[in-house]
Amino acid sequence: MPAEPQKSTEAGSVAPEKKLKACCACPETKRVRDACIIENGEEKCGKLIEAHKACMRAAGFNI
Amino acid sequence: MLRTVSLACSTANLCKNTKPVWTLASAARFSDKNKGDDLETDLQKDLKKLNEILKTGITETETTSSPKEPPVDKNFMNFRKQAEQEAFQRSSIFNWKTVLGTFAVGGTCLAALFYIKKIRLDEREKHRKQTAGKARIGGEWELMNTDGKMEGSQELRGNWLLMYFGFTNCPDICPDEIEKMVKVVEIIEAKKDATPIVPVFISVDPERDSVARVKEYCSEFSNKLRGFTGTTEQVNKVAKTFRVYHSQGPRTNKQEDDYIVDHTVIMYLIDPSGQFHDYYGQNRKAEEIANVIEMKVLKYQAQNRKSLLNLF
Repeated sequence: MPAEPQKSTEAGSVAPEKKLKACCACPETKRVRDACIIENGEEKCGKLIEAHKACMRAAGFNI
Repeated sequence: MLRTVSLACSTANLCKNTKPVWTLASAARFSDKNKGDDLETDLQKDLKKLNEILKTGITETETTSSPKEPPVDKNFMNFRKQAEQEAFQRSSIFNWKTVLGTFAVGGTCLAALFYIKKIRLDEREKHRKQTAGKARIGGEWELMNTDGKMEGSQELRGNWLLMYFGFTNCPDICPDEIEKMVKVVEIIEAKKDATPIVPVFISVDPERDSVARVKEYCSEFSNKLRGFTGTTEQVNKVAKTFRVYHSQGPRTNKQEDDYIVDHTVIMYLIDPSGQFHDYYGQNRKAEEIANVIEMKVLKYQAQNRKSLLNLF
């Protein structure tokens, strides 16, 4: 348990907002992308993957 | 004598003689032998002509007897009427209403047949798609477990598996999803005659997730959670097998080792024969997933019983 707060503090000290937002940003495009990948395979979901990346860049992440 | 005289007069008319009647009478009185011969020939001619006249008269009588034929015509007319009556009777059978009715019934039957055929084709297509979908996802896989040994689908066969792909540095989603997975397992095992389900965590961050780190991470959630990691090649192979998308996120300049891995957030259900059985997205809750899995397990067991019966 004490390890967790340390990790969180480390993360917080570096870039807490970015980290939190990175995995939680753009839920709409992510959901669509995930559904496509599981159903059709990654090879056939290039457009959705790029769409999600574009959304992440728009949110201020360096991808 | 008078008769012969009258005949002579008629013959005279026929001969077209212009002499008066008394002249003929005088000629008859003063006749010689030669003149007698001429008269005989004339008489013969007259007789022939009379015969001809009589024949023509007979023909006339025949023509006059034609009124007797109407009975035959009547029969002919009756035949026509009978034919017309028969045709009329048949027309009552083959009227427009009957024709339209027949077409309507036939059309309805054909439409029903086409509809049934379409439904069957749709069902077959759906089943085919489902089968194809299942076949494409999953398969043999092998990674390093938390004891540092290579382990995978072979060793875990015979168990139901619930798999999740994440990484230990995942700030929010991974812990939530792993907790959900552990909760699902607990919900199912809390019931009577429950089938045990093994929760599996596979790291998609081979650079940072070492065996020790994964072991520590999994033990924080549950003793039952089995963690796996491996080299980049090994992890990529398994991820491809399960159609897991993962890519390294942005790296900050301050610390190169600090980055977030973008990956699909999906839970996989694997049956005891090692085949992919189902998947659950981020939006579903633990209770919902537990119920679905229970139904899946029951159905799987029922099918196995059927297969056993078939064997015997």
